[in-house]
Amino acid sequence: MNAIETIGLTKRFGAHQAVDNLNLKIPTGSICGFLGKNGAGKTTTIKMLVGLAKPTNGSIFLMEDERKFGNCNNANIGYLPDVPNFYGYMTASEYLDFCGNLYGMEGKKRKERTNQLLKQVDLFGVKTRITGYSRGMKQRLGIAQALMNEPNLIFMDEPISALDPIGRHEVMEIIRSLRGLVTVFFSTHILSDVENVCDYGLILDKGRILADDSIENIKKKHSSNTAKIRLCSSADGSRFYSLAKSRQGLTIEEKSPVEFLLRAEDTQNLGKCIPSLLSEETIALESYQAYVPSLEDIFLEVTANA
Amino acid sequence: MRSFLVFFKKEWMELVRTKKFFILLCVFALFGMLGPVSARYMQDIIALAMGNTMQITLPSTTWIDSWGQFYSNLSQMGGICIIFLFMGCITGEKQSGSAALTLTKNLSHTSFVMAKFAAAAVIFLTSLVLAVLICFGYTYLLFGYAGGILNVLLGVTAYAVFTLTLLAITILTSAISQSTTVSAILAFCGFIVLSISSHVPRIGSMLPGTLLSKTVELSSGVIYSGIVEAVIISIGISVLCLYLSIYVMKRQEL
Repeated sequence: MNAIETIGLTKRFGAHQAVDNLNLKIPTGSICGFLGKNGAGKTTTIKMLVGLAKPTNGSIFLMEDERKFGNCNNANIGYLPDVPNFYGYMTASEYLDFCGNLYGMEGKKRKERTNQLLKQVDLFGVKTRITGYSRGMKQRLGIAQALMNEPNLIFMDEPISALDPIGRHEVMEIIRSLRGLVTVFFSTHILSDVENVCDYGLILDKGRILADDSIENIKKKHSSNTAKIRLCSSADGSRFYSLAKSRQGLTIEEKSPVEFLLRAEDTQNLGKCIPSLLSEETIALESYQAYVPSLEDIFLEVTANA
Repeated sequence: MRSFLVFFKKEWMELVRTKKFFILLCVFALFGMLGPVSARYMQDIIALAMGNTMQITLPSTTWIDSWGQFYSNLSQMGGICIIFLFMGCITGEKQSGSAALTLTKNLSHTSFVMAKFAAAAVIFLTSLVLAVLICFGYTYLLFGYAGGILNVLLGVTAYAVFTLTLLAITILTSAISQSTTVSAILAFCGFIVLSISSHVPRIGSMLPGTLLSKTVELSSGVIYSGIVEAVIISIGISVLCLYLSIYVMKRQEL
């Protein structure tokens, strides 16, 4: 079963196409990292999914239930916006109690859940009203309120953007701990976090999906046509660099005078090119290895090509 | 119903903790005191202000003037207070983003709007009851009589129905506006239109403005034709405003 499925999801603001014909299928129980540059359409997509923005076209299914704008059932959904804003005159405990009450949780269970979440986000015992909180504290409270109803599906719009490194690590640990229990869909700019925590990735640019697969498959797809080679001398290096640069269908990146990254249009081409280049100028090869790019490399590559 | 009650409780907490309830209570209590006192001592105040330079003969004031002063103050400042306190009740939540968070938590748009209206109505009616009790007491003390209880209730009811209509209009302007300033301007326009509606030829006596202009007559026991129609039309306008607020909220992106 897919936790999230969209068919032709589109959002236009006048002439501006914010989200363009998005077809998503996010498996249940996965932790999905939603990547994209500023203005790529991430927040608009999340807002449409949680029912806060009306799609111009297309359908949304969450847990196989079709969503109708203005009439959405959010009983099993948690949502954390990019800049969460709460009722400043409440304390964190009162706010979570209010949220639990809205979800219909009974008194004792509500209190237990409130205390458990406040401990989890390190706000237990903070008696001051929310109006005096720092942005990081608000972000942590935001995470707690998104988990209050023990949802099946959680949407988080840049949940770690306002946190210090320790807070960021803790939040990523919370997200990691949810693996298999709930589906988490979160947008972020921090690619290493997606790499460490997510099992599914989406890359969005100008409202269009550029990559949509498990992190493993995304990496596989982008690693099969890339190789890292090391030559024996820098003299060989300079000859090899100028030769490879002139070869069609091949791109070369110099990592050091003797180390290069070669990328071909396809794996077969790469396999043929390297031996022929080496033999042409009788260049001695020290090592050769298939290169597994980081998510950051892939992100930069796909957004540059878009 | 549960989500309505939960959100009503939250609204109540907000009105108490942000001191809105206290402000409205104080303003209305002050008007309750000012009406009878200014009616009783108006002659003395004018005489003192004029000194011996001019001889003016003023008719002696009665308990009816006390209610007249009371409603005269309330008809303007009471309405302005209601607009100032509630013009941002929905726009504020939309601008800050708190509405987006709350409305993704199984709270219906209907409960959201109705709880806001209900909580505002409760604090307005509480403040009004306090003001009327104070006015009644002071009028009795200063004039020896404050009118028949039933008549006073009739006058207060007419004023309450008018102001609740204004409150529903303010909720609607807050729901449709993206900024508090726009909401305030629209609500003030609504207030003016409601207030002068009694001057509309032929049907004016059945419009909400009449409820405001006839409060003193009603308090002194004069019943005029058209009051029932005016009450029904006012309630109809309020219901329509609240329905439109819910309709707009359901279709609005947050």
